Amino acid sequence: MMVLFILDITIIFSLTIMESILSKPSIKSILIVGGGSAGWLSAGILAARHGSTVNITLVESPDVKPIGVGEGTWPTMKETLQEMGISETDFFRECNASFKQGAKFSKWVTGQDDDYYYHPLMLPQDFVKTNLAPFWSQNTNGQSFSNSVCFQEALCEHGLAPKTITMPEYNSAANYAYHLDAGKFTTFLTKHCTTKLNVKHILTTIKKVKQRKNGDIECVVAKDGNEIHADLFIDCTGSSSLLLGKTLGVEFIDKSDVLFIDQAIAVQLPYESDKDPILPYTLSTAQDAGWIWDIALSNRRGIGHVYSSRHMSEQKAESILADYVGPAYKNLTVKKIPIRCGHRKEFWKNNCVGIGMAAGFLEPLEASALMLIEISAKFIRDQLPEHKSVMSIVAKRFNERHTYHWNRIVDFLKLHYVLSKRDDTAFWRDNRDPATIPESLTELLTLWKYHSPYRQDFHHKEEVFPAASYQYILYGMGFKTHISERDKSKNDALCKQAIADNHTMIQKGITLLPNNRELLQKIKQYGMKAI
Amino acid sequence: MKNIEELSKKAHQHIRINRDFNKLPAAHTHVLPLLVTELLSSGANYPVFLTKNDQTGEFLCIALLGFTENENLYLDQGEWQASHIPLTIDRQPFHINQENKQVYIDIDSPWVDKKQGELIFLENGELSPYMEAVMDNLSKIHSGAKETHAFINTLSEYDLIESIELSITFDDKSSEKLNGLYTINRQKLATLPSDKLIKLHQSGILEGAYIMLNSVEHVKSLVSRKNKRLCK
Ligand SMILES: Cc1cc2nc3c(=O)[nH]c(=O)nc-3n(C[C@H](O)[C@H](O)[C@H](O)COP(=O)(O)OP(=O)(O)OC[C@H]3O[C@@H](n4cnc5c(N)ncnc54)[C@H](O)[C@@H]3O)c2cc1C
Repeated sequence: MMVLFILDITIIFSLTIMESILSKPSIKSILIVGGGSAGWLSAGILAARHGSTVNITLVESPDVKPIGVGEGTWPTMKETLQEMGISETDFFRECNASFKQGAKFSKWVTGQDDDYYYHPLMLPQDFVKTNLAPFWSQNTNGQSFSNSVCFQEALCEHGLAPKTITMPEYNSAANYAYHLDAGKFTTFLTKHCTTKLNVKHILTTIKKVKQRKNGDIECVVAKDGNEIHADLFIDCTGSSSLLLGKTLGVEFIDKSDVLFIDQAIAVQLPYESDKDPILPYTLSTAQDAGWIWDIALSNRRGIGHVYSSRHMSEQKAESILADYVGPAYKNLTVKKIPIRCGHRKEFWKNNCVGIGMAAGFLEPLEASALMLIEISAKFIRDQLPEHKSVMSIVAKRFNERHTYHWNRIVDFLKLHYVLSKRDDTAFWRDNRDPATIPESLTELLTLWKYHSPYRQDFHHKEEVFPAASYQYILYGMGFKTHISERDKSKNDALCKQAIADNHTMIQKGITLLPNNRELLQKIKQYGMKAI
Repeated sequence: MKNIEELSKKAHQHIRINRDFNKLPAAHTHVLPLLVTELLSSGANYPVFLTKNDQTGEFLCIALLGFTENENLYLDQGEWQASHIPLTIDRQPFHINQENKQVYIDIDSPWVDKKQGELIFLENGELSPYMEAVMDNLSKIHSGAKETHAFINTLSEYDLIESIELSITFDDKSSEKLNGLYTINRQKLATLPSDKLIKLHQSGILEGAYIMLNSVEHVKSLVSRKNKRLCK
């Protein structure tokens, strides 16, 4: 009797578990709407992990072309491509990619011809052991901050690549990101995702979105009336934000009161000869009401002027770009792109996540857009809800994290304007109007007057911009942190050694590393080895 | 600098080749490229590895002759102490055009001599036995380049290559670390699917792979050569 009774209970118990599993189904299908960089990066990142257990489909409109800009990346792209199982040689060859070892900001501080500073992609020497900023500020020896603590500025100034041809794919002597052809990149990812990672690809325009009573998206309806169902929807429809914005009605938070850039004019300039240097960094040159990006690929440069239409006419903006490009300008196709600066209030609502321009966009000053796409897709990959019942919890965490990210990016971009000493136009003066500076940034700037940003100053493990980036901008732009007596003599020997070591690295790098164009040609000709 | 001339009876009848290794800078090196066609005789004498060509990043098959730049531990007072001298050295100062098999001589080579050494041509204008042997080597070079390429490509395609680091401490407590060397992963080779193994076997690549793997034993004798020199 007793034994039977116990058995009964276990049977009933396991039945209830069964039931709860059945009534809270797991996520078996994901539909990505949109086939720009955001759509295909998300598809690749998700499919590399879940491709064999979750149905991943990407639908894109053959009529709405991807935005076709966005060619500067962050070093995170290396891991992203590697995790997808991409051969870096194929990527370089098919996307006309080049190496990016940082950003050079020209004329951002005084506007004079000799005014520049670097934001390299490596931490200051011995960053984990010690903060070199206070020591450097007492002992500059006439050297810039970035040149004193990091050997990458010297590599950039010498036009060198971050590695040699004998180093395996994704390995290097100096850290790097890529410059890539945005159009070719989506084509490349399409091929990889559909042939290697099991992603289903549908070419059609979505005309309607059907919702359930609880607001969840049930399916999207194509032009031909076909319905595409999924458990989780990822909105990568670009600035139209078809699912997150239009369907779910998530509010757009405008940031144009902080960041004034609202227009872009872009061209693609082929090299005149195969001897032209290929700059191994993004060059950003400040202008009267904005700035010009100059991104070198292996076969051409991508150049664009972003500006504030509140401070400059389109005609003037175009003539500035034409001057920068030179006589070749008149033969180039000019692309004009309005920029809506801001982001959605929420990024994950119900069973829909917005990634890429559908989630928001800020001026491309630090190439953070593609990186944020990678961060978002990796969050979904790692936290993919096992059951629909926990989706709202994951969504909440996603929203908190991403609101934090967007705010930090806004602060970081604004920092470049706030620290400028340019007084020559209203654009630069207006940018320093305290009313346009977020409180969080004002607070940090006050703190940094007495305390240089270091490792523990930011909350998240996965910061978009680490403390080192703030150091490069602050001290590159001449910000002064008051060094207290307490900080002064700490670790002097260690700091001296680190700066000497960096100097040695510069000498070594300059003698051992090849010219950037030369290495890119070798990659095209011989390829890099996986080992 | 090289001063290359097409080999001809008329121009080179009285030239002799004086094989003095002390005079030949190319012989004073710690690595020499090998062709697969000389793998068997090389593997019996030297540790054989792969390394990357520093100009192209492509793999090369090499014999390791020393531990530091310009150190050839097989050279002793101008004598090469091995039963096989890698062809790139042995064929000096002759070159062969890979396309038309035309033979050239570098008349500025330190081995080109007027008085001492082997004649290229006999009195009657025929090739000397020495030169016959050189011609044989040159044709091996000609045919071996393609085969070597295929050998390396297949190993790479089958994902059998792995990098290794040699860390060696000598008797005098000095030490050397050699990077940039690659060899074959024995485990991966042994567990290849049988269809692939058969392919490797039929193409002779399997034998080459084992020669290379087993030649690593010669690192020990290389170390003792070095230790002997350190004692002197
Ligand atoms: C001037 C400028 C410069 C930039 N520079 C950088 C940079 O240097 N670095 C960086 O990281 N980022 C940069 N960005 C941002 C970057 O370009 C974007 O973040 C990135 O390209 C992602 O875009 P997306 O895929 O979200 O949108 P899009 O490229 O616009 O793609 C939208 C996709 O949605 C599809 N679609 C739309 N509507 C429908 C529909 N109804 N049915 C089906 N499919 C539909 C379209 O077909 C398309 O495939 C820049 C942006 C601009 C404007």
